[in-house]
Amino acid sequence: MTQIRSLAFVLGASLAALVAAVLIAGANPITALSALVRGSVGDGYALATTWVRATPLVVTGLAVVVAFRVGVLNIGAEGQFWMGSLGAAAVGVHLGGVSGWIAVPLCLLTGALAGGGWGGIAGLLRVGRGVPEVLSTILLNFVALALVGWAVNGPMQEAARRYPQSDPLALAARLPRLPGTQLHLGILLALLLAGLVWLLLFRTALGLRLRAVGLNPTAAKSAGVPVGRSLVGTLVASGALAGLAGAVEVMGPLGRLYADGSTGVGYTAIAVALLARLDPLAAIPAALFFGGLDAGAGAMQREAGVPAVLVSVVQAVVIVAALIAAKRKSD
Amino acid sequence: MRGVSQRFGAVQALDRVDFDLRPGEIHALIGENGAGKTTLMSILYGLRQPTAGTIRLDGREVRIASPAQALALGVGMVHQHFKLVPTLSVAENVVLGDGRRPFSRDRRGENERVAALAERHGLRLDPSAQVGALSVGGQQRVELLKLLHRDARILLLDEPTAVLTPAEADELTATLTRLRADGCSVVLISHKLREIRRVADRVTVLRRGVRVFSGPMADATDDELARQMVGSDPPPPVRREPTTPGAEVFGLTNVRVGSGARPLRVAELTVREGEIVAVVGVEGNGQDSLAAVAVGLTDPASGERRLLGNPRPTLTPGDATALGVAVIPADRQADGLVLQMTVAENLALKAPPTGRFGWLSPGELTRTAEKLIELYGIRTSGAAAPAASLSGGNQQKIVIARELSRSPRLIVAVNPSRGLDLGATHSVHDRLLAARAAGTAVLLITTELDEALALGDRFAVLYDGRLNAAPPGADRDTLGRLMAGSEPG
Repeated sequence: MTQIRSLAFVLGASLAALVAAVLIAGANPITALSALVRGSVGDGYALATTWVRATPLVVTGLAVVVAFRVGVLNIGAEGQFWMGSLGAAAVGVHLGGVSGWIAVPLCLLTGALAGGGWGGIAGLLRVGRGVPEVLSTILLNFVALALVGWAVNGPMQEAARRYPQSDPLALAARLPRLPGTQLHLGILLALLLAGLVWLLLFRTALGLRLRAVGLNPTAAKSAGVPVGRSLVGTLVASGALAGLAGAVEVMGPLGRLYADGSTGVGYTAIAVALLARLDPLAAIPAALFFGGLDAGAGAMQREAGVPAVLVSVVQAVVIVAALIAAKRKSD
Repeated sequence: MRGVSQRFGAVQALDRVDFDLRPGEIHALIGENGAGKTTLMSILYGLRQPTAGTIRLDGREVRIASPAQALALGVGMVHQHFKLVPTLSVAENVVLGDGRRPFSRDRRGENERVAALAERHGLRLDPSAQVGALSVGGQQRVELLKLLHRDARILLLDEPTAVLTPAEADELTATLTRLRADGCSVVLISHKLREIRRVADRVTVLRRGVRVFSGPMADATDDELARQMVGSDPPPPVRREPTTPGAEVFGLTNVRVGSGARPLRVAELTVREGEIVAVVGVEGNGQDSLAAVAVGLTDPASGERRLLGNPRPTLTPGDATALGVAVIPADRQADGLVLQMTVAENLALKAPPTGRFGWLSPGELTRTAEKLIELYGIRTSGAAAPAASLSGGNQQKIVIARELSRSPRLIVAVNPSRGLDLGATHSVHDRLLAARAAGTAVLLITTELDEALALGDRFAVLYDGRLNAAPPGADRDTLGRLMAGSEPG
């Protein structure tokens, strides 16, 4: 009951914010909202777009869920996502003539390693030097973005040297699609990962101990859980998930590395995780909600002249509303 | 106070309690933990509003909405945890917040007034001393002085001796007697019958929020009061069967822990199979460091630590667990339990009942937990209840069940009965003695002399970061003197 009420609260707040945003833009709310709905769930194409937009949000959302559950405030899913994209693209462009059975896993693995390594840096800084991961992960986001920018303007720039982007990935490294749609294999991967993360957290001894670290690190330590190692390991795992999401994006919808690909995914991931109340399975609907907003924003811009960026206002309101709802429940 | 009731959600903390305090008396308010003693006094001090009931002061009905109002009416309270600013002087703490002269100060005048006040009430205090540098007993005198400075005539003291050495407790008794002679009324919240017997004029007993006895101290024997508190005959004192200690399980030689202003220094400590070594001392004299070095939370800066016969210069809590060290930490909520997790999860924290690949089946988790709940008599609505929903005594039972069910070689127990009622304390003591009889080594670190005397085979005393073995056969007086820092002799 409280669940339903807080969901209604979140939805109501976002609707109110949306109407306010549309009015500020001087558009007709009815037109704008119907465009939003059509663009996100109106037909098969819209639904597919929603799913495609939601996919990286599911996986980066899981990255944040894992970290927050262990009490690690990883704000760096964005940077880890970019490092994953960079890693997968760096390998993927050179895999012409290789079988897809090798190329796809190889690129995914590279992305996960790159993202995991990026998270690991923050983990080592935290445990070894006491640098709060909130700071280091945010700062590493900027470093990762700069690295990508440098790569697509330098060593990884397309052979034509015209735009700041890499060459397209080899076909073997692209994720297979359902014929005639944009639906790619990454969607299945995301659903699978959500299940795996849930199993890890709630059905293994490791998960039990990691959650204990998140809720009461002193008690966990005194019960023999190696807290330092858990924190580093969690940042690596969280980074690997975000990196995987980055790899899926370049191997799926994007096809190559752009300097300004899916900016902001790693930040929206925090909203996804919070809206899902750190439940890995709930991250799927939460990501679909944000993915739908994203997909519908384009239609709203085209049909009602409402700038798509105003949707980010709605996202912000949703986060605040979700936090208020969560707080009210715990009171 | 007439017909005072207080509800917290479903819990009836106080049920139509009457309480009378006469001018110039020391009135002991006793009862087990959770009986409602502190709640009742919090209402009198304006910290809580009663659900029902009235308060009359000098025949006039009053409503006390805040501690500020209580102070204005002459009612003051000294809490179990002092509310002092450690970096300020005694005089500054005393005048702080009295509302006089908000924008100017008269340092010398303050010091003189505070000194005169302390002199008048026979409180040994230097008004210019920094509060953080005072002993616990000294800080308590500052708290009393603060109230006297506000002209409080009714003093409420919550478990005032819990943190004092026996000598400091004696001094407090003398102070209270003098204040009574000056016409103050004192309410003494306690659960130590021995103490209140010496100083109280009248006594009120609360049991589960109900007043079960009130009358002159002389009208009731200790046994009767104990029975009133518990509601049945008190459990018989624990019996210690003689055992023959075996090989050393844990030992420290010339160990120094920490390098700060107050390191812990231990010349020699050894705990053998089948014995309980009781380390007594007033809170804050190195208990934390000693427990930490025993369970692997810290390593000695120098000296030798031995576990199961092997030197262990470095040790993690994980290693210690694997070697069979069990811990009953001082603060079960902070260090022992994850309150948001379920009883079952807490019970499984140290050794989850895993299948292949670290797989944790919920059924197995529940079954293991239910066995322990049954075996250790944990009162809970179920294995899936959050640990936070249990009472303090049952939370402690979760810790004990988790730690002792694994047949440990060494038990490190820090204040294992803190905050527990008589029944729960008794069951904790029984468990420790059973472990001892089974050949487990027990290092008991406690601030309760009675607990140490009831359980210990051998004794050591912590004072100012130094651990000294007590002479064999040391009695209550000797240990009390050592706790206050006098040399063994």
